[in-house]
Amino acid sequence: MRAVVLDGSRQGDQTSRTAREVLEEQLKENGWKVRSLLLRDMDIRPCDGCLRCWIKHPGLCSGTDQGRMIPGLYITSDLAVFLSPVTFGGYSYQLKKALDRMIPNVLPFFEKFKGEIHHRKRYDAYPKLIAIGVLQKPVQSVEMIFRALVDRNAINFYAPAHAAGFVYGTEDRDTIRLGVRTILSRVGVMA
Amino acid sequence: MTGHLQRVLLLIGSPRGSQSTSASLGSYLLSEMEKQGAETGVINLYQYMKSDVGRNDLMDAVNQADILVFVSPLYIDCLPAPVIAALEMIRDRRMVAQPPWRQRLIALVNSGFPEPEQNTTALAIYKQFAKEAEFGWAGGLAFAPGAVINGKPLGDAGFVARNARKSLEIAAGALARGGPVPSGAVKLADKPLVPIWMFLLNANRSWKHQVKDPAVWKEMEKRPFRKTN
Ligand SMILES: Cc1cc2nc3c(=O)[nH]c(=O)nc-3n(C[C@H](O)[C@H](O)[C@H](O)COP(=O)(O)O)c2cc1C
Repeated sequence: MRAVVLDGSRQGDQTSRTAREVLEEQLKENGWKVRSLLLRDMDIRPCDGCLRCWIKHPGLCSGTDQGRMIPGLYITSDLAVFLSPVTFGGYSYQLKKALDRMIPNVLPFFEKFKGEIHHRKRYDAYPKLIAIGVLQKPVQSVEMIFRALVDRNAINFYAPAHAAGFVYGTEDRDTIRLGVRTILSRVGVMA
Repeated sequence: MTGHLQRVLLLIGSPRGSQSTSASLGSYLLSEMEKQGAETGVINLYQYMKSDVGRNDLMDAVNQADILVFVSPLYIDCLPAPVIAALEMIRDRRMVAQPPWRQRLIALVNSGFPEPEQNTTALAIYKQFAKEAEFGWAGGLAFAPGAVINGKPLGDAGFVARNARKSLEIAAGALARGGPVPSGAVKLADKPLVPIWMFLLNANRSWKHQVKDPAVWKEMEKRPFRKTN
């Protein structure tokens, strides 16, 4: 089983770093192959909305930077993890620059799905999705926005299971480990 | 001129820049505000966020404005990455500068999907940004589906854009009086620009016109990536 971790943390963010380390440890202990991408160190330019990935070379981004490989890494995984400082309730720029490059993984055609219009699937299977939001301390209002965003992404990314959870700057390593374990178990990755 | 509208800055957050539906919506609001006596300026966030000079100019323009109008498409259920980068920067730089700020902010979002409520999370993010960066939240409006406007000036977009125009006119009037976007404007924006069934019919057909090459059309559902273990 393969997991891809999209780490959208900022330089010097120790809590995100700890969260990623304990996440990788737990997945590996359970036999997962883990590929982590430290997005801030990667050459990933913003999606320019050209839609060539739909109308010129279906399923492939025409960019020549490292962002080009994001859809492939995502779709060939069984689990995708979004790790990000909770930024106004949403994702950081570092994570979002990668996520904006993911539209090749769906078809341009629309259909009704869960009562709303969405793009049709390109692939038969999509990875489970977990999102770990990093906050200095619990803040209910932004956590609600974050959860709503992850729920919406799970629909558009056809995740067969998904969960969002939080780790806090006030927590020690063991508490963060427990928190990450709980999130993983919610999508059936861990007993 | 009521004295509430002075300098209004439109911040366009679409890679399509002046050709975008975001620009159509924002420009219409701006022209309505000009009728009320506002002085206006426009910034293309994608361009300004590319360089240090651009980022500094963006901050200067933000600091000089009385009302900021953020306008962007919905990307992956929230804001396009460069818009988030701009919001992060504005918040970070304002936190080390001197309050009290007395500026207000309004956000307009448009989506590809035809249900305006798919934009709710994006508007919540703008609202949270306003709180953290100490702007007064004047409200948000979501329009859908953006493709029926497709970057045309809103005045030329015909019958389909009538609710969008009316909504923005009401919003401009309220902002001029120093108030927030009224619920009447929100209700009009919340009506899909075209019925959902019509959207489905036309939008799926339209791809055939956009894909010029018949060989590509045959491969539309191609799967370039395959799982290996
Ligand atoms: C990378 C990317 C992601 C998108 N994500 C969404 C989405 O999650 N939901 C949606 O309704 N439309 C989505 N769209 C469609 C745009 O929101 C839509 O085309 C919009 O009208 C573009 O507005 P603009 O002309 O102002 O850029 C996406 C488009 C792109 C290129």
